[in-house]
Amino acid sequence: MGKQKKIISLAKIVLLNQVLLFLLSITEKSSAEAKKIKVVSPICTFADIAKNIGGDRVDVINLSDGLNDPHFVEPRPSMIIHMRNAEVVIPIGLRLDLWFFSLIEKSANPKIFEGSSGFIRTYEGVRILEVPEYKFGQPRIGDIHPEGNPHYWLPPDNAKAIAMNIAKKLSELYPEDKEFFIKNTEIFTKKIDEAVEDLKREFSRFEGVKAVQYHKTFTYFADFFKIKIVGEMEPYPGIPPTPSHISQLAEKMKKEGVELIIYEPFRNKKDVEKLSKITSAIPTQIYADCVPQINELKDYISLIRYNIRKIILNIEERENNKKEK
Amino acid sequence: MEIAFALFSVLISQEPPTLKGRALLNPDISAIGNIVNQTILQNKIKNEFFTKEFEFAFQGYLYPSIRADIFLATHGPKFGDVHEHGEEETHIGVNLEEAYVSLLNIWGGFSGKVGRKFIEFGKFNPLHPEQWLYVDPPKVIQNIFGTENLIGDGGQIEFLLPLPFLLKIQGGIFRNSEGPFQDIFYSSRAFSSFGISDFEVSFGASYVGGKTEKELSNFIGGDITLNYIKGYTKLTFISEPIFSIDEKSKFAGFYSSLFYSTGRFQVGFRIDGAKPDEEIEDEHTRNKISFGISPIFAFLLTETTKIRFQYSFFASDKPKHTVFFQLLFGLGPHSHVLQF
Ligand SMILES: [Zn+2]
Repeated sequence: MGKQKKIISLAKIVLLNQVLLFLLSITEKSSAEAKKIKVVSPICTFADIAKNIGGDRVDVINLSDGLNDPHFVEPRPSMIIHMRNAEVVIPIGLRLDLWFFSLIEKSANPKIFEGSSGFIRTYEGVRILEVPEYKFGQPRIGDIHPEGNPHYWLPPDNAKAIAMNIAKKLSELYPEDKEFFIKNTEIFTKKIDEAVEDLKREFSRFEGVKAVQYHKTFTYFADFFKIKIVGEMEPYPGIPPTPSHISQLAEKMKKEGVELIIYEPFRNKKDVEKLSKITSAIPTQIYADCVPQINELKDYISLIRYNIRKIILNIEERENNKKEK
Repeated sequence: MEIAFALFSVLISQEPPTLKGRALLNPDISAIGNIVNQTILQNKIKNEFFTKEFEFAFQGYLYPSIRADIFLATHGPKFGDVHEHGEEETHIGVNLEEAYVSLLNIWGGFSGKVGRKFIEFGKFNPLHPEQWLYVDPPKVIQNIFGTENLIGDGGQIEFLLPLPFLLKIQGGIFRNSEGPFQDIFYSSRAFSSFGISDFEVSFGASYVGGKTEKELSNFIGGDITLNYIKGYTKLTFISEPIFSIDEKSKFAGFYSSLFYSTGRFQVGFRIDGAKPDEEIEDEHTRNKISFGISPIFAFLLTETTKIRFQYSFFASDKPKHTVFFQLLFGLGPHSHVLQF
């Protein structure tokens, strides 16, 4: 009996040693990788911009993409570890990514709390549209945009502002690499300008086209490329379409000659198709964020190129259909 | 509570750094209504329609690394009780459910909470009714705590270990007015979670113990959560066995549930294993675990309005059938918890 007990306790000590050694080895490994600046982004577009600015100095972790509604990403507990290790976070703000803020809160990492050095106020200098004016006694409907329209990152001028904000913050935190970040910002800005010049040329014939959107996702984008948004399928941001709202909208669409219904991949397709049938506007699925695993949507520039070309394709299809009739 | 208020006044008297876009002491205010119709068949049919609760949440920052959460709720009747006519308690009082300050970072990975809190024992106990996947709480929770949530006034320290995966440990000291414990009780928990592509697996182990009417009483619980999340589709499995440890450990019961949700609806079931309610003389029969099953269906009317149907069967000497119909609606930022 005594011998057995001794063997068991010896085995326990050996096991404990192994566990401790394992834990030590992984903490060492993580400190060796700590040379890169760890950045955590709530969406693919911000992650892509940060990679363009930070180059090989940054290690960017992205938590969602264009296949998901950025309002309602499920904050997974394992994501907390990315936050704990982060030096910099680039939230969307304006109450869109509350889930991202809840992860920041749980990180116990004071570097990235709001107001701290690693927290980038991404929309600094961006003109926020549709900021509601609350009056006493007036109900607040559509609480998911309480501080104005938070889908500000799609138009190229805003993307450039976001890039500037990231570059500014990284330069402040890592002044030794300031020139590198500035140079990268210039390269990225030029890349955007070139892509936009082409897109604007391709789209010039279609400027002023009228569209309806599902959610207020593409308001800024449409503003930039001169697409006229006539209304939304949602009666208020976050409230699904109601029959009475849709029939009112359909009337308006017919009167104004709306050609397109633009919506993201995660919206209710049946609602869109129904509205399309009544109005003959073409359902046009585009994206509000890049999707790393889809090549033609892999980064920000691909994303806006995809959106504009998809819109052009659908308008041309509509024109052809009309001719055939 | 005194500690919490002392902290409040200290914090308010200090000049805080600027918080752009978020005014100090200008909290988010939300309200959630939880209305239930419950039909119980056990020997005879009893139907009740009641407002389970109206909850008011006040949440905000006192400082960039300090936030406060206050939950007030009207007090509804407890689930599962079959009241005789005229016996219903008509409480209109308002309860302070939770009021705590979270210190998001004390030092190097340590954080903490001070005030009145739902004790972080297992997966279910810390949740408010609007966050439950079910209409009523699992039977084992009601059995061991005698209330729907174990609540305490006190504080806890949490530590996020510096590892490449999530491992959080925490411990707290609380005092409560209702529930099984007489005075001071202790709680601790370890929690870990791993994300592997679209899967998330979480494990937890919890302890709560203190002096009860009779003697020292300790409870240990394990919990496992398995989530598969792909876009709007979500599959969730939760299981939580609980043991009571007095002279020797005894299995107190468990619940397990599996849910599938997609955008607008959620369907699933819960299995309960717990001691039945009936007063039974014989100790052996009294401690026997009985089983129950509850199929559940929920539908999102709008982003912040939800209806839920639940049928529950619990096998015991007097088998019990319950049909629930629930309406949940919310206003304000906290109502996003009503999403699937
Ligand atoms: Zn939105």
